[in-house]
Amino acid sequence: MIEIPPTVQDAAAALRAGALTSVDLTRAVLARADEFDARLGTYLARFDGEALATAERSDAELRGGLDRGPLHGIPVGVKDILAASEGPTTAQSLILDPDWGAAKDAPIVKRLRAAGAVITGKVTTMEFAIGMPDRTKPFPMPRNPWNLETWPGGSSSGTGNGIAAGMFLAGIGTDTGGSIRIPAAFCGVSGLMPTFGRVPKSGCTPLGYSLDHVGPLAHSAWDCAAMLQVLAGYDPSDPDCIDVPVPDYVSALTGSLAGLRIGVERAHHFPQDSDPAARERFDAAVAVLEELGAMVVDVQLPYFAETNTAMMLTMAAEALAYHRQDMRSRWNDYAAGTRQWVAMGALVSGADYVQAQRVRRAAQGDLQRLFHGVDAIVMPTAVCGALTYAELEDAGMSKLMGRMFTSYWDAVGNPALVVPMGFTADELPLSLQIAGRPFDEATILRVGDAFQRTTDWHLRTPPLVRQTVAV
Amino acid sequence: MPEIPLTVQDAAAALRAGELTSVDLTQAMLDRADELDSQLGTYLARFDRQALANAERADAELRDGLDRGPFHGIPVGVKDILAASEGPTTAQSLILDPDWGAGKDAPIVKRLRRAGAVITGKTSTMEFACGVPDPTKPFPIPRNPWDLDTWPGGSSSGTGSGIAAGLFLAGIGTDTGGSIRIPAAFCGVSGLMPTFGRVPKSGCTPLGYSLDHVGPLARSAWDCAGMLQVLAGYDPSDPDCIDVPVPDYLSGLSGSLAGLRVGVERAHHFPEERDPLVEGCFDAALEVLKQLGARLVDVVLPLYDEVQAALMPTCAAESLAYHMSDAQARWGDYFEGTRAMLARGALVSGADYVQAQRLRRVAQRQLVGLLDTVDVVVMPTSAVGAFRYGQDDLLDIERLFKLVFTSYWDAVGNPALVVPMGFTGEGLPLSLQIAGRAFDEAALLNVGHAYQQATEWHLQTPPLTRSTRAPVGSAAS
Amino acid sequence: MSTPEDKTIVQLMLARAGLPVSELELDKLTSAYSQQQPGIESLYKVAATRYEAPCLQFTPTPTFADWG
Repeated sequence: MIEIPPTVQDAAAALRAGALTSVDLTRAVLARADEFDARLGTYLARFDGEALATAERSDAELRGGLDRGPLHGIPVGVKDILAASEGPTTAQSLILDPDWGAAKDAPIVKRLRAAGAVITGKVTTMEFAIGMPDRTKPFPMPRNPWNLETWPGGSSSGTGNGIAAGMFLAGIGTDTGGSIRIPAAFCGVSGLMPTFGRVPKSGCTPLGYSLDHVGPLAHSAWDCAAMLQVLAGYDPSDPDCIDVPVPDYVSALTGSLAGLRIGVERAHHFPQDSDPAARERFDAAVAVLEELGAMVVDVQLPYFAETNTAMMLTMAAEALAYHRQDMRSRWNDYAAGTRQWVAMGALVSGADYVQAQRVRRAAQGDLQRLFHGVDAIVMPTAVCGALTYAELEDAGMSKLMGRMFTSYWDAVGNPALVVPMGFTADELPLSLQIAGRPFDEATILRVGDAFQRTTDWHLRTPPLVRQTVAV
Repeated sequence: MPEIPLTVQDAAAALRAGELTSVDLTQAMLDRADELDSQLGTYLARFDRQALANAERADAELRDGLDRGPFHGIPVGVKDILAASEGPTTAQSLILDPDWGAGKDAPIVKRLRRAGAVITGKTSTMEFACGVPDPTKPFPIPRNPWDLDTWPGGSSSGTGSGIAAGLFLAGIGTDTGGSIRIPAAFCGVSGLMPTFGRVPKSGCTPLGYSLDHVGPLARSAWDCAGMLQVLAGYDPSDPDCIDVPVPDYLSGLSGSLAGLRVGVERAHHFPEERDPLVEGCFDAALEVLKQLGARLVDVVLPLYDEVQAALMPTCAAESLAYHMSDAQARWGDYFEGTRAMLARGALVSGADYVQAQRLRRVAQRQLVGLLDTVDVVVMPTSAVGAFRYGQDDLLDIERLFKLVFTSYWDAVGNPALVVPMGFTGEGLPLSLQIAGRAFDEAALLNVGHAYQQATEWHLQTPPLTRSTRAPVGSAAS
Repeated sequence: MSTPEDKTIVQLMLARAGLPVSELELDKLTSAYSQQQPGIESLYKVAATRYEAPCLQFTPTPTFADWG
């Protein structure tokens, strides 16, 4: 069994250098799944047979001189709220009609296939991307490979822990309030929420129509850039998809931050109960960016609390519109966590919803002005490591809510990248978040990539995986 | 000495023929206002002095060969929810901050001025375009010149009554559930609700962000076309304004309907409570269209009831969001009718609002399919003539929308034109509505114009005004 | 017809919105709410909305320009 390369970038080079084949790679990641999936609850459906067939085809194509780009022959996992033709989508729920999307590919899945990616299966999420894992429901509980007692984050849980455990080299997540970036942060990998409308979200069950984003997780910013290259671009099947040219994201990774102005947002990101390591690692990360040539300046995000409130009530209202009929007739078939969140849509008035949209626009206006003075804004993704299931069940999401900082960016629609920046004293990953202007993913990817050229947090492997594999 | 022209088209010709001047015309309109406004409650603010000054300038420009187009020197009224720099906007309310829009022109007012229009004043509306007249509030009660005991319709009430009674030749209204078309219908004039986003609505107090349209009222479809030419086009100050080329609406008035497929919608437009004459008037109108070359096809509007059900939650939620802090602090200062609408915004959940927007999209999709099979859809604008004060409960919005058929088009965003088509037994105007594809106002205007070449309903004037219809420049004017 | 439950709901929703309605207004609004609900229900029953997006679109790149 070959060693799995640490990144898509490395794997792509190794494939072309003949050091390994896509079949080798795919067999290796499937073996990882055999080893770890039961403990980690990564997969809802494995596509071993199809994956190996695609891997063989990739090898043949590469041998024959057809090169589909960096994702050619690379194993990729897909969050089980997006349709892939190998099998039905569940949304990790008893509710979703199995005929929904049956035998169809979501547009982004089509794009992955056209890029030669090897889709290894459908991975765990939260129910409909919102409901915390419910032991009473017949779905796996996803666990964090850094500490099995802890939650890997969500809702792209399986995408995050699958990459961390080497079950695939990259994956697809979605982000409505943080669901790409939280699992990326807690699992010690990188993740990108692109600009709203950058990547088509058709063929994906919706959570918040005006908040949903489809995007990549992978070990590195470079890998995310390569993924975004495949995913981005207009598709008319998604009414929210915006027709804006797609730049060359990988070429923009110059490694230099000279002249870049980076805003540092501490004001809203270090509450009382922050883990001390979070502040320490964040300061260290900012220092690295400065060393790389960036000019840093303190900034404050406008309407921080109000925008977060607007995000929540928007999501609740939009989600309930979608779920209401099923919730009425099949309330108990839903996970408790889903019911909790989505029912809030009934407690928000139409006027409140409209007002939330006005607040979002006001925030966008001030933020546009802020981005006249800076090119990117950095902050911690969260000021804690992954919480244990016990802690989550005890205090619920509220314990987490005040310490994670993703939802602001969903509300305004700007892109945000997260990259690992160190560990807590308990050896749980900490994460740096880099937000940018709409449609300027290139700049934030450049920041993340430059950071990762001089640090190696993104290359660390969970002890569990390291030890098991070493044997 | 010529009579005061009824239409902008005629007035424009008379101006250029030297038969009268803009000052003559404007003075005659002001005299009419002196005579009739106290009965009609058309104006909230008159700009007599500025109007005459503008009229003088218009005359000078025309004499010098600077011709700004058909609206040059034409007296026009502006609904008092839009800002015009002559004076503050009230929205017919105690609530609106007088500093709002003070000294500024809404983009469409700028466009009117650039076209040389003479703005005679701000016309009465409903409070914030939604509150029915409230006698306990210090604003005029607008009355219908066809019968002073009836409502001229709303919310562009004064714009409608002013044109019907000849206080100006054209005017600006807005339409969220029918507020251009209802007063046009009840006052026996023409009115156009353009496609959503065709005309900028900045500088206008909002009622429903996703439903508001600014548009013209005038005597004729030709006049409305000329007005739309002035008003239409992108403006970045309105986030809902859509950047689509503006065709030449007047050139598009061929007057021929040969080959036009006209969908006839009876299914939802003839309730039990209808006026006994409305069906006959409608059938007669259809006959005229047929004579003009149109091919009639029976159609049914998709999801009609559901679209109606989606409009109120949308409008109420959007307006309450705008008014929330004033509503909480100054509830009693609002008109009773406005309060009734705003409160509904609290009774609709966020999820219901979102669902209403999904429904609208489904209806739009199905309507696009329908408008592949026909070019326009026709129906009566209303099943009845103007509502009677004291007898018909103006607060009963549900009843209003059962008898008046305007709101469907606001909900889907398509354009709709209304033109007079006859009278009830009591002498109250009846109206024909013509709706079409998004951004295809040209088709509607052509139908209306062709119809008006073959009929004279749009040239009828209220008995009340005939005694004042003295020639321009005579001793009596 | 309005039920006592309808009146409670309306009372609570208006109170939550902070709107100080009179008794008469409360009665009228309760009646309006009861009449409104079947229409709202009908919006959810339209099969074609099952997987449909709403017609208000959010943009990540809004434009801002002053009028006047």
